[in-house]
Amino acid sequence: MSWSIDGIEWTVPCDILRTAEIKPSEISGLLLNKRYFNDVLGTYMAYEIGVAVPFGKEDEYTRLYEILTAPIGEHTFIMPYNQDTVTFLGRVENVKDAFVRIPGGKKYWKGLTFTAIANHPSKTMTLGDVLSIGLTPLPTSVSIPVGSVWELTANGWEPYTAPTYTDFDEVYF
Amino acid sequence: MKITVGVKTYTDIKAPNFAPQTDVTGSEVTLNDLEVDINTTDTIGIGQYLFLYDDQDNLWAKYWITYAEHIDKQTLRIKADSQLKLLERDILDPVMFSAEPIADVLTEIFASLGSSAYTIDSSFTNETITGFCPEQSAKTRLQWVCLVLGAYIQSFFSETINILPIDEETETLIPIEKTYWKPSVTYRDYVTAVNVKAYSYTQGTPATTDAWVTDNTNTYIQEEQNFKLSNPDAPVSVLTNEITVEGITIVNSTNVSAIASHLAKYYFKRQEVDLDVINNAEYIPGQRVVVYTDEDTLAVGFIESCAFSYGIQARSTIHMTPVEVRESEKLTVIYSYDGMQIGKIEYTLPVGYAFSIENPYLDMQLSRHRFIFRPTTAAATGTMVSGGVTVTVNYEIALDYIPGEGGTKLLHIVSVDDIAQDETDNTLVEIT
Repeated sequence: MSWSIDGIEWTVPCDILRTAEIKPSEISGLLLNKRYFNDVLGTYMAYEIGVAVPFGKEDEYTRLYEILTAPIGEHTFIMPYNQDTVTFLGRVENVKDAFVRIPGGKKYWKGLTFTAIANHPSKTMTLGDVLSIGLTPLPTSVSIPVGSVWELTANGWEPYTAPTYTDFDEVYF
Repeated sequence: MKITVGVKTYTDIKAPNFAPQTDVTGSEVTLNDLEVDINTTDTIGIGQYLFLYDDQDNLWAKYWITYAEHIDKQTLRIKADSQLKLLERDILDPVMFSAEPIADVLTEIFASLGSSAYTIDSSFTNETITGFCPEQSAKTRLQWVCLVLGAYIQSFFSETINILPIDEETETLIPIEKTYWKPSVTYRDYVTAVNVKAYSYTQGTPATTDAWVTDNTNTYIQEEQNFKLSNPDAPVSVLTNEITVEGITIVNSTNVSAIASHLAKYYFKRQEVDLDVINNAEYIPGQRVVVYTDEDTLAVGFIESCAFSYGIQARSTIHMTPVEVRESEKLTVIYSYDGMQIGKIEYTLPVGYAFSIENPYLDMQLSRHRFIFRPTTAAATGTMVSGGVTVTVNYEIALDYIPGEGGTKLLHIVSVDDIAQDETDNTLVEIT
């Protein structure tokens, strides 16, 4: 599974843990009627990624590390999202890896992990959206002739015709 | 929220510090301001207007920028004041008014801002000012005028400065579902009396013992008269605590009584309420509102200030005073179908409140059927009276949905409302 940061696509083996934070605003709180008022600012995606760069590709590892640790506030990420991808501007947090020295003088870095957190919500609503929710609880535009009967078929709702005995192979009385 | 300065609009802003207030005694002109941090490298000059809008382009404030400095390379901090601040710098000459039309007095006060900068409520059109105004700032003169008119200043949620009547009649209910847990009620000290001094003037040469004023053309002998209203509710044991209004020399024998009784109404009530409400600018300072102080108790009073905080919607911490308990009763709305009660809902509402509560469609599972009941009237309406009110709303079945066996699902269209029957297109409601 590939992902990209700042336009550079990475196809190295990796684990990706996806988190969606449905972030409440500071004005959320308990109301006098005991209902909790949840004022949601939006859904912020976060991806915790562990990469495994194969031996012999230390240059790639270093390049990725330098990108991740650059002191900039915002990167452009393209990350897996359901069967597709999502593009967002986000920040990098918690870049970690481990230095390993093994007998024979061989040494390398491994286990690079980091978290990419969206700076903008991937889903959000406007004030107008929020205010219009729940104003009309149920349909108001039913305009089907009174007394009709409809049946849910593979093609959706269709006028229903009651079966007659001729529709059956055998009729018992 | 967003900020517009000149032709540029900034949406990348940190929560504006905006807490408008007004004085419902009319004895002070409150200078409101706004502070906001904008994420920008732009430089913005002071001495121009800033507009604060919500996401639906409703204006919250039009204020004059007095400070704009980068607090770091990416953050511009702006402070702005209401246009009233500009009136502080305009010094007006002394003048003796004799039944001066209010329009003319305001024209002089707002001379530097222009007539488009303010509005005055039509109820004040025929009001006049009589008395002496010394050399003073335009802001102070406006404050004096507000006191004698019984007016307050709205310098928020509007492009203009609005001079409005302190309206004791119109009340807006802030519903319980918009009120945060939990309002607090406090009591201030008793005010034992209100004193207001009235002035009268006679043109002439004053004796050495006379008080006098001059408008630089003529000299006037000044006479004073004290009006006192004592608080009948103040226990004799409390310490004397009197409010005195003096030196406002456009208070005269004609208007003093109304001024004193208005101040008494304000100061003789002791209760104050602080509460948080979901407030997308529906409730603003100067408004008279009825609020829930707990689930069953209502109180009525004026909003003095609203400090806003922001999410998708906005929340405000409201300070209300003076406040008095408002009699409340239960409204019971019974939903009925064919004589059978299918639902009930209760509200606590103020007595005298004309209610109109939208009747919902009811989606109910009964036996194997899923019914959608439609109310035969759009809203339950009436007026709350002592003893409570019960309203019965009749329902009819709109849809009868029968999840059948073997995958068969039937939808019976039982009734259609009048509006829908006028439609030519058949729209099928999705039932899942």
